[in-house]
Amino acid sequence: MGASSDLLAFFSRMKSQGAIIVEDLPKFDVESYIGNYQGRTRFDRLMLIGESSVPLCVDALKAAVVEAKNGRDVGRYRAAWEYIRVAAPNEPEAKRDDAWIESTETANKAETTRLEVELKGYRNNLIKESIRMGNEDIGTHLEEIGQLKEAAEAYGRMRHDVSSTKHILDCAQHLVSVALQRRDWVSVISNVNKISGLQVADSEKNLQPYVKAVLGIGQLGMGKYHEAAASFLQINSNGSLASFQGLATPNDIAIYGGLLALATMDRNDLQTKVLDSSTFRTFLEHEPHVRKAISLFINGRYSNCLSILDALQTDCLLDLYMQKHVETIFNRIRRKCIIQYFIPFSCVTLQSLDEAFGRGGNSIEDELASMIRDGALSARIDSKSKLLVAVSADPRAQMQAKALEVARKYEQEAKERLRRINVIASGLEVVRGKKQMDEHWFEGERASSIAG
Amino acid sequence: MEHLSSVLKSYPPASGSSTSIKQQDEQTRVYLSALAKLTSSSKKLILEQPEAVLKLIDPAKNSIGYLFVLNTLVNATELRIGRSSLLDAIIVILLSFDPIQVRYVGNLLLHLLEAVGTAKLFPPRVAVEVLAAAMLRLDPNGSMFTSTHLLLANYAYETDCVEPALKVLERDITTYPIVTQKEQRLYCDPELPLTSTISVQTGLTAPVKAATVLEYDFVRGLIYMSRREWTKARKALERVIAYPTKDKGVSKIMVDAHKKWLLVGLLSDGEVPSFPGYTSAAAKSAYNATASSYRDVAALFGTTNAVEFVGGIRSNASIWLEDGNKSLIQEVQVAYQKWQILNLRRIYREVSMHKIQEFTSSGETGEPLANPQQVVSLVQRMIENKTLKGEITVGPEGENFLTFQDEQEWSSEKDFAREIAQAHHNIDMLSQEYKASNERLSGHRDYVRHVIREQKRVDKDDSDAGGFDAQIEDEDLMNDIVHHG
Repeated sequence: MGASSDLLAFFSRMKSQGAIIVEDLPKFDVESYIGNYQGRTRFDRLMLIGESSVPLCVDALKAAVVEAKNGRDVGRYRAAWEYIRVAAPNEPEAKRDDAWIESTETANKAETTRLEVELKGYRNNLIKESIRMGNEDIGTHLEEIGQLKEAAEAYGRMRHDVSSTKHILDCAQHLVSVALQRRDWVSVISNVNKISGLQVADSEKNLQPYVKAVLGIGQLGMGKYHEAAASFLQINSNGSLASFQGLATPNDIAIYGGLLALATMDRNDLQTKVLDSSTFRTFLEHEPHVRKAISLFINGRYSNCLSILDALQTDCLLDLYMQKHVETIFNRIRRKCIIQYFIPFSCVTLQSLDEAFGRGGNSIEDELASMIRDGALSARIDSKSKLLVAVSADPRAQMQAKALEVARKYEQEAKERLRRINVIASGLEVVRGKKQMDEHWFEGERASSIAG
Repeated sequence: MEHLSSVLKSYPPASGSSTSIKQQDEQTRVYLSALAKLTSSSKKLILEQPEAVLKLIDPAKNSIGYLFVLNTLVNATELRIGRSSLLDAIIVILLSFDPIQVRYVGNLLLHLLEAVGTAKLFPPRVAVEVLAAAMLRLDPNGSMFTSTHLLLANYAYETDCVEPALKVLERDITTYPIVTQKEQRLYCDPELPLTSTISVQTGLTAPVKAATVLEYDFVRGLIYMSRREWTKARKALERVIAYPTKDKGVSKIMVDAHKKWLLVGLLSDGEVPSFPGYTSAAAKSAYNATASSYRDVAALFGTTNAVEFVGGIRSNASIWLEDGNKSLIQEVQVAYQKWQILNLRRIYREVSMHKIQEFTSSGETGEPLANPQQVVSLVQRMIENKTLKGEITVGPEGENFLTFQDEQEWSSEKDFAREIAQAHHNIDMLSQEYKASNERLSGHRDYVRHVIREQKRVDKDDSDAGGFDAQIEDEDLMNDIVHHG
């Protein structure tokens, strides 16, 4: 009893902070899920599950505390502890480990000072390579202890002393990593573009998946779904996937790419660019559901497609990069299905639409209304006969209306321009400044110009 | 009396149609000087026997003489004429004067018009009617602005007697008096363009300033608002806000007009109006700085968020009051729900009253209407006053439905052909006006100066280039001069 009321309090607080709460049980468990990732993203993902998923909350938070204590980032430990203190006060992890905090903080401070002194030494010696490495060390250290802004600055300073393309690459990769953690999508994209612009002969192939995945995540973060889909779809599956293990798994790529493509591409593109793509197919094999949803959409079986997606939704809502966009993306897919469904008809009963797309017995009518209002669907609802009627354009009437409108507009504009010419020719423009004074001045000037 | 009579009646000479323009002009000027030379005893005679003197002259044939006599009477300190006879005489001359003759005595006519428009001689309806008729007599197209326009608009608005003024107010004005108009042709030349006949020189208009023009269109806007003709009001105000400016100038009238324009735009189109393309940047920034609360409310008008809309209106109540726009805001509040209902036609072909009640809220309270009956009566009113094209039908379960009908303005091909022909005709007329303006402006000194400067520049460029052709040209020029010299 006590545990559940603690959870309730925790989630009501999360909700007030704007977090998305997921009550359904996802298809994975925390242990196996987080095993797929490496590096700092593990903690971020655990925390996200902790603050969003009701069934997995405690497990995830406990894992987050352990994860934080494995590293040196005191801020992260504090954040995880804050959460678990509210959500599960009876767990052993809910007790604050002050000794650890203190010792880690001291060690961190000492390390920072040491690295700074070292860097100062390099600077005095004016050895470029050493300065660059010094900056890199400081950056890595700061990133590890959670001072991301300072870390980004340190990495940024590396750029002054680069001497090979490899160095530029390192620098940009560090910056991308920090920017991803800070959710600074603009900086993610600009830095990753610096990498893709490089001419690296050998490692090019290995880097391509990393570049495209990061680019895709950045574009997804900025809500540019179409571009993001294109980026994900271009990921070369032959390259080394290890290079982005700290970022996303092949399963993630399949879901991101597949769903975004479903939301933004037309039937033809879905077939040729997604299902028939030799490179993306490897990813889709990890997630057969997504693959099935796409082929169902292509075959016009929209309700089946949507029900598969519904099952996927919970998992997506617990994904670090997808969470904020799930609602929009799923809505788009749903709308697309409805529109596609309606295309061959001039008139459909609301009942059949309800059967195909109805959610929990609610009528689809209001959803259709909002779609028409947004201009997504060109149709009218006839709520007396319970029909959705396609707007049949009468091209002749349209042409006539257009012709008249153009004529009227032309006439009006011509008149107005003539009027303005004559206003100016008569010297009647409004002039700046105090009216009375200026008018005298203005008239005086006119008089003198006439005299002259 | 006889001398007076012979002088007055000496015009127009009964020589028929063969007289040239030059002769006509000469005769008119002779007559004018004869009138001016009338002795004071003759003038006294006019004052003593006004009715008899007026009877001597036919106002339609000899407008100059009639105006002269009338003017003497109106200016007199003491009147020997019955008020009704004087008023009759004024009406007669204003309705029948000769538009060419009055060019010689424009100041007399203008004086009379101003008297009618300000002196409360007539009941407002008559005064407005007579003024409008006289103005159209001077300029049948009504396309030339005069000082009398503002007089008429103001008078009609203040006396709330708008109807008879509309025939002037609805004309599109395209020409304005030119202060420095120099006309070499004779006044009685029937070919003379409007800018030469209705000018400060002929006295048919007083000098006009920018503020006069702005105020005229502003008052027109107010007049249409009082008639609830929102689209016309919006267009009138649009002229004010997009008025040509110079040196980043913005007039206060323009700023005031912009506020009203925003609200009237909501009433006429149901959405925030957009600036005409030719609005000056300085004016736009001034508007944005002065009308932020209006903009906020206007932006909320198009949304379904009635609570916020009403809140925005209530929290700025003092601003509306201060700007004198309180009643306009009330109109906007009333129109809010109507436009919400109208917008449903983009979604529904038939919609139940229940849904209307659910989807739309009153702009006065921010709440949905209390029951479907109120919705029905609101929709009924909208259909009756033609804001909404549709009908109320009853569904199978006894519920009321609103069925929207097509918006098309014409029904047959014939109607369409007529509309297009009308538009074509209008544009043809316009192109004539354009030609006239072009001709007039080609002779404008600024333009001529510009052309000369351009020519000099081109000449200079040529000589700079120093090409072979240019040299040949030079030689030819020399030859020419030598030859003629």
